[in-house]
Amino acid sequence: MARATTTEFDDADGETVLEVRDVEVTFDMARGRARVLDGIDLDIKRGETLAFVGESGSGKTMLASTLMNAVFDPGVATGEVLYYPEDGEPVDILDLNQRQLNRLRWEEIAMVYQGAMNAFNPTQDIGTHFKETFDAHDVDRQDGLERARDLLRELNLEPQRILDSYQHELSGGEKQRALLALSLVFDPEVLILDEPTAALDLLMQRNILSILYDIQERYDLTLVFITHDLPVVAGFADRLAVMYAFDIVEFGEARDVLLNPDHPYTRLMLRSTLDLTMPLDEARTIEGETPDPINVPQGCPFHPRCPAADDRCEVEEPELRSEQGSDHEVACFYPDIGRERIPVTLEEDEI
Amino acid sequence: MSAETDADHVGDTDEPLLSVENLTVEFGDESALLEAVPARVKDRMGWDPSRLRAVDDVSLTVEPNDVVAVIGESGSGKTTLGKSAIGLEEPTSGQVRYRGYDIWELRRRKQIDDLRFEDARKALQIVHQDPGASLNPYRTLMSILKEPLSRWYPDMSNADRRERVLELLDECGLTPPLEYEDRYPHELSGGEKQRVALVRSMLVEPDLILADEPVSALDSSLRVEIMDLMLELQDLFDTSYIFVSHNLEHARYIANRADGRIAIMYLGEIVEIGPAEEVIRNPKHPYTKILKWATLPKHPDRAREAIAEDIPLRTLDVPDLVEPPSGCRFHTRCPQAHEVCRTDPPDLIGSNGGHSAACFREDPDHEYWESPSLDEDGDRDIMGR
Repeated sequence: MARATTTEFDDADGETVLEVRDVEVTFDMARGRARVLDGIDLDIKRGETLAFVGESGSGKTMLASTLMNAVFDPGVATGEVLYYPEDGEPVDILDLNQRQLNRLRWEEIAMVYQGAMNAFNPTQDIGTHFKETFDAHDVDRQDGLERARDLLRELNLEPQRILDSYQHELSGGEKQRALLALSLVFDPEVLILDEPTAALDLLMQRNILSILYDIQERYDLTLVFITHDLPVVAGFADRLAVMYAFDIVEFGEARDVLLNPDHPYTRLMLRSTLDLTMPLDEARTIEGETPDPINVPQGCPFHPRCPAADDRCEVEEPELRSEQGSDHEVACFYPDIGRERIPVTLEEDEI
Repeated sequence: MSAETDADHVGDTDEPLLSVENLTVEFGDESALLEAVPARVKDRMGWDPSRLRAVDDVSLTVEPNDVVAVIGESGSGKTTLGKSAIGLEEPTSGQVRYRGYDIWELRRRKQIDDLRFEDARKALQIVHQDPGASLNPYRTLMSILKEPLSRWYPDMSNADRRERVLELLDECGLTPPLEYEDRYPHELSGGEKQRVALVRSMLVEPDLILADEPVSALDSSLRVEIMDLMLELQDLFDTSYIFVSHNLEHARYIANRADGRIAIMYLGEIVEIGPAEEVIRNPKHPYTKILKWATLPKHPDRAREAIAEDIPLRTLDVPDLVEPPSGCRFHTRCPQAHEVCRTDPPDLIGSNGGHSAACFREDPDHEYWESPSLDEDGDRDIMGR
């Protein structure tokens, strides 16, 4: 990829593990050019849990793929994704060649894709998946399997039974945990999870969350958590990025974003999210449709659905910015009007 | 509406719209190979093909304009119960009565008194979980939606059918309908597809719709919208719903709004049933309490407290349905199980306001209280209870 500028690495405090700078992803399609990520800037801190929340088609999975330089053809990613390993030289992931990428993926940054149900090859036992992974990364099979057994045990699974099983012989929760063990087998710094609890039963969802909570502590992992299901990350994430129309519209400490949401979209999303203790009259749906990536509205992309929008929002796009001294960022001209017109109460009635 | 026929209200009107009585549904667990083996060989070899009891002795009544949300995990039998209730799955034993008439007897005899099987078939409809898979991708919406009208109202003119479809599209928020009629399913968003699926089942003005996880596949921002639409359609057509879901929040929303009930299923049995808000606020059965515990709040502080808690189950493993546990089926996982739960199956005991649970803890004089706990460390609380 041709580069106009030389990369500057400026992780002065050593706290940043990934730095995303002006990342854009476009797809040229017959209907026109689709911009599926629109100039994303953000830092991911070492050891934190960062959650991306948004509707389907908001760009959250695309962003995760970009973090590993795994945008599929004919998509083109531009910008920089800087990776700062704990020891070693920082690199721009979007500049790496295939051989370097093969190292980076799984060993440094691992991803658990959506749909654990379909992640394993039905004609191979689980052990073979581990062995193939060791071979691809030049890891001795015996050493690798030892590590795999430890991990499986820590995830409350019987190692030998799992390794000898085919995917159809395992329950949904077992598959999800086996997949988690496979993704952690090279002790990565960053683990990206794309809807890890979707399609699981309620009790298994809770179990997977507890497991993630534990392994993060134990392995000192940075977790990047992608979901459309807000309650799943409400208590889990340190920071929360709300995505709408291929861009981040609100970003900050998770607790702060949820208790003091500034963007009208975040506020509406909270109201549309059901909760066992909320007064049901509060539940609202978000009117309108998510934008088509080829035809994103001018100005603020949320303005056609926004109760706080005015003429300015139709022509000018608000930047993600924070007030002085705050790290809670929002891309909205009129957060005050949004607050007024979209009341949100998270406090429950007594139950 | 023009297509209203007098066949809509036949049958004995004193009878409930639908009553499920002691319903049991079993599935054979036989491979094709085993099926080919003669019975005498199987006997000699001791091959006993196992039977899986998906629904076990369940009774349930649905009234007109009613909503029953049936909640359970995979394998709880909730979908099988729903399908049996609308006559899609034949009971192994027990009965399903539509306005007092046994559906399967009606099917065999084609007509009993004034009621034809066809009328019952039309009155009981289904909306599937995945609207993407339940709409034919090769056909336009108009062609998809005219189908049920041609099937059930053969005398209706083509122009009338089209008008009827457009009218309902409009009512279901697919506006302007003229812009929708020539579209193919892939030209619709997920929410729009589910609207079309609802329109399709509503066109024949059924008495009851089995909605099998109708909002689970949708984005959370659309779930309320689709459930609101279901409630609006209920107002319009007096339809009842059996709403099958694994999600307590969805169940609470639709059942509460419609003044309906929530039924909790575990391994083929209803373990608790009652008015929606009652079941959510004051769950009686330990299993219901655990489902409530597992449903995460959106308040970040509450959610963080919740995630830090250990799951209050004796084991995560779900027992095999082919050999369900003796006594109370939940005893292997229940944090409050006592010796007696291992041997005696509890009945669904009713109490005030039609809220019942199948748990000995409901009876203050039961021997349960004297029976030793199955857990060495004694009973564990669930949500402070």
